[in-house]
Amino acid sequence: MTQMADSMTMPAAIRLCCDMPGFVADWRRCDQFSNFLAESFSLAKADPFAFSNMLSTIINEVLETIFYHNSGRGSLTLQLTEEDMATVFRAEFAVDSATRSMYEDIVSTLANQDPVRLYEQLLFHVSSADTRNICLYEIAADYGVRLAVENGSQKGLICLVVHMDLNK
Amino acid sequence: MPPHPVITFDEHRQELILTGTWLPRDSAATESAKILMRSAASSVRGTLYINCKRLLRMNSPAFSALLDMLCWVKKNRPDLCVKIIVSSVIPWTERRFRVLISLLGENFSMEQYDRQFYPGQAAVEDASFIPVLQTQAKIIWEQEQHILARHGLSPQMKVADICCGIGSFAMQVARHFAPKLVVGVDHSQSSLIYARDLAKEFHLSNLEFIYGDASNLLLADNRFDFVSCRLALQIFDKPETILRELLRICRPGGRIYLINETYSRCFGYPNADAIAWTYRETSGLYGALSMDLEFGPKMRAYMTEAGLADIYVEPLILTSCNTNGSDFADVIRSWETYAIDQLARNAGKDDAYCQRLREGFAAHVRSVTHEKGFGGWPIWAASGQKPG
Ligand SMILES: C[S@@+](CC[C@H](N)C(=O)[O-])C[C@H]1O[C@@H](n2cnc3c(N)ncnc32)[C@H](O)[C@@H]1O
Repeated sequence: MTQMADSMTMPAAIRLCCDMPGFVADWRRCDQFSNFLAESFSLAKADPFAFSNMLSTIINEVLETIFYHNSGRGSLTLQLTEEDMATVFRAEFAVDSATRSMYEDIVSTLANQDPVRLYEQLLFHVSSADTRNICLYEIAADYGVRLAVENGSQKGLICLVVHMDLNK
Repeated sequence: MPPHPVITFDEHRQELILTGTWLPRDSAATESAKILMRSAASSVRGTLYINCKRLLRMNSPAFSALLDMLCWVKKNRPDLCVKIIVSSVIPWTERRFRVLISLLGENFSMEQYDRQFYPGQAAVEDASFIPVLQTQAKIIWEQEQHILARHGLSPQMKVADICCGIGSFAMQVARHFAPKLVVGVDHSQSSLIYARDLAKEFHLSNLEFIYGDASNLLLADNRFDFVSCRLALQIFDKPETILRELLRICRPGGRIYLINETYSRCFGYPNADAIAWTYRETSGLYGALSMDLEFGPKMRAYMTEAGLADIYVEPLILTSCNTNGSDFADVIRSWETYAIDQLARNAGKDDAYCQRLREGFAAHVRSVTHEKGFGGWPIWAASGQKPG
């Protein structure tokens, strides 16, 4: 596992890598990674506690989704950066084509419809077995994050991108 | 059933209290929580409160478990209202529950408890209070720095300054007492902005200012060696609640340090009567907002009740002889502006009353600036040890 920061006090970017089998072996990794990333990234923020509390909440939801939806192989690379006043979280990991489609569908549905209505549908009208990816709808509806799926750095990898405006 | 790690039910207050971090792996891991919440919801009448003031994090399975109970209430208990209580200190709660409440409809509501949680809050948290804090800080520190060692402050300590205002005290401690760390907490965003700018200006990296509520601190138990709370217990209508929190975050053997005033006893000569009238009245105006600016001598009783040991109280009386007279005069002028523009006007006092208040403040200014005059401000410093 590695962590890179531009400086000790003002991390403009933080990256964390681990192997996917190691990640999915223990559910608590979602919490540990989200806390670690959020706390390190928030050190230089005006209110480190408030920023990190919000950030770790969102990252945890994304990691819990990835926990259930990935190929179980390869590595998981997580990165946090600051881009044009927004905080951007990227997660790169291996997926099979069905899982890739699942992420792409969610992203395009959220881009074209009202996230709150979509979230409401899932929350009240879909059985719990179908709602393992509800977290992504939830962070879009509740916290206004924007999601994108990009090609990963190698074939078979995708990069899930989460744009957050946490400075409000 | 064993107690749930995150949820407790206070039957008497009809309140489900969710505390800490609740991240179950899946819905199977929330069964006991669901049972507990449903049984609570079936037992209450009128309003069920869901207290999320200290709910640090919650994931989707946990949220679904809560939703399960809320949907059950919606379907089976149309007579029941549900109020979710959140805190502005934990930013996700307000955003997440606002959406949920909008989807659940009537009978379900959300309240941010720390928006209006004691009568004088708006007045004290307003940016108009900053000049008062700025001028006061200057004259208090001159005297206070000499008594702190007696109250247990020494180098390499972890210090918390609760209700830190614009951060002057925290900053002075960081500069002059070589602490490991100083954490200032306040509930006024405008004061915190000022405090953070100040820390930046002085390049102090062992100093942190966080937004928080003194009555519900999110700082860990036993974390600090020295916990200060200055000129602040006196503004709360329930000082014992704050004192309990100060005690909780202080390590056993560490010390709690407080300063508070007897504002009505501000004194001066000449024109002692006009001065005395003005301060008695102003203290009363604060009193109307449930602030007790006469709290100084009561500290020992509160500290004893809270279980502190080795309590030590001493006067920290500022006078025109032990401080700079013109700085003292600036303090009095800032009090005057605040007392008239904020307190007297809001209390509906007429012009004649405000004029009389003004005369007392003006007399006090003269007493501290005139070469033959003498004036002062009685403050009391107290500290006690958290038993080991
Ligand atoms: C009279 S001022 C004293 C400030 C500072 N200790 C000083 O000596 O300059 C009281 C401070 O308490 C803060 N305060 C009020 N209610 C609070 C709460 N619930 N939690 C934290 N701070 C609070 C106010 O914002 C204000 O800055």
